Amino acid sequence: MTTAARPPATDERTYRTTYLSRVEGEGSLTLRVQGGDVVEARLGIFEAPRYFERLVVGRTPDEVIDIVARICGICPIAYQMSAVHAFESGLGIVVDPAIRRLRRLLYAGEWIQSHALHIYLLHAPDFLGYPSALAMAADHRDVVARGLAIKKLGNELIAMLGGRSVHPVSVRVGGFSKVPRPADLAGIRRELDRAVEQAVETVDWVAGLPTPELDRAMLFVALRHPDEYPYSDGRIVSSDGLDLPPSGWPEAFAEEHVEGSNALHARTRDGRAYLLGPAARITLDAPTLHPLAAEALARTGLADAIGTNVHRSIVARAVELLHALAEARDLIDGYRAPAAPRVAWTPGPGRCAWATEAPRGLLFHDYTLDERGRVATATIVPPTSQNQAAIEQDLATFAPAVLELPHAEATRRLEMLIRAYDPCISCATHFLDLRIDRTEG
Amino acid sequence: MAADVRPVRILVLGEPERGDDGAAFAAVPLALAELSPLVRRRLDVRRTGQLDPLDLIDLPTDGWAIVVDAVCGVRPGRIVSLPLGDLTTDRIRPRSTHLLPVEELIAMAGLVRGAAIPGVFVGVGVSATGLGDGLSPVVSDALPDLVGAIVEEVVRRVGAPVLVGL
Repeated sequence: MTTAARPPATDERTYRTTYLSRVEGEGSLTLRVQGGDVVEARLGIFEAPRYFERLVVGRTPDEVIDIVARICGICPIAYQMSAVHAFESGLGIVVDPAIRRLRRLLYAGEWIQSHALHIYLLHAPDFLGYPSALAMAADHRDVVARGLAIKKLGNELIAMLGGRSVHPVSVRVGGFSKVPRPADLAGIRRELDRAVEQAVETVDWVAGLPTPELDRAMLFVALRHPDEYPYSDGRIVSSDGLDLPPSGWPEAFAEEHVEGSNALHARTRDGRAYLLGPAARITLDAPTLHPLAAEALARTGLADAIGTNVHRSIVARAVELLHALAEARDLIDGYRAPAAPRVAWTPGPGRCAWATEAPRGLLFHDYTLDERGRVATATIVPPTSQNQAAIEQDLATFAPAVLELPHAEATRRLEMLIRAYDPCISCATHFLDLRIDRTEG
Repeated sequence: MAADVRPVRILVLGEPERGDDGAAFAAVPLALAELSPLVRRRLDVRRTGQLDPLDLIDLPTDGWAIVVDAVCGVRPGRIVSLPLGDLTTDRIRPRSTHLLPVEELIAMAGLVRGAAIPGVFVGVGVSATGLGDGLSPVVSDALPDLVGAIVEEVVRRVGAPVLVGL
């Protein structure tokens, strides 16, 4: 529902959109405009606090892995992976290389389902002028069917390795509770050839979508690994030269309370906004993309535009979708079951911190374990809370170009910009309340 | 009752570890236990948790879907049974925090399939869906009615004799 009110006495105009579909979580956006300039863009998060960092206190590492998976239904693997790597790093646990490869395969499954969902059902309708994926399906049946098929394959991978597709249960400190036999993966392997072809088609398709202009500089942050596109391993790097171990997030970044928001905002220690996610990873990690994905990215000619126009994040996401599918195929082709599903380990005290790459960007976990090996403190920094400042910054940059448009069109374009970040404010947003306070200058 | 041998697909939605959201997971096994082995062999039961449109799109040409889920927005314990086509416009909406609303997914499946999805939605109004297993007393009390509604839909599509002991 959209309403517009223009109180004549104050020369202020308030625009309100009470429902933003196709994002996760609950939040509001307020734009304050003076004399045609956007002087403030605030993304307020009014979703209730969820207290997961307190819920895990007193729990064992394996219990934590199951609990944090409940933070998000779209990216539970990311929460499990950041937690399990944190505990294994802190406790000095070394896993079988075959376990590491299986975890990459599991993470690929999450990227596949999350990216396919966002590209096809949440974001693409914006570019084609449809109010929803349902409306788009009426005219683009084959496109939607392709997206659904790719997404389902990601779900199947998660279910096979994680025990079920939503809130999986098999990840354990030291490995998995159960690992598949090579034959168990045969069915998914057969589907992957077609899915890789479909992902190539996806890259070409999104690269050709009509896209709004935006040209701005942004600080990018992501993991970087010398040999592989980053899922769970690598160092935290930035486009301005940062280089930290995956436990080193607090050295460069800090969370802060922001008025009007139940979510913490993260900024660099010197107060700058930064961007995570597909656009950041493509910008910082393109050399380690799978050859098929690198070739597809080059064919688009949009590698630079991904870094300057967040609307092009759909292209970055599609390239990563192709990467995840192609790597999943390679991982299955080379799969040998580990000697044991998990290695034995001994509980103990210590700091356990790690960052992995959720579909939406860097996800940092930091735990301290007490003498019994139970959690004493926990800090979880999801990617959307880190992206909020960048979202506000981009909104302030982009908004002047649309404020003179009719309200409905201006709102649609601003919502489109927000969706470009694939925000997850539960991890991130069900309703976005758009308010534009306009004061004539 | 005319025997109808159309393949019937039961989609079990919800989350057994979130209280009443696990109603479908509790009811479907009880419903299956009331059906004869002959009938059970004609059923394709998929415990998917979330609705995947592809589970509807690839229904056999003469297939029939029974989507079972917990329902928000109606009196706790109330049994809801309505054609899938009506669900797209009905105000009674199963609520999901992820993906798209169930009614949108069903409509989308119909558009991709090129025809409306034949089937029914069967659900029960929830009382408590917080973390933890086990149903609330009001939904536990309604479970026999939910089981009965599922069995009734199966009987309607597969035909008699279906019940154990008949």
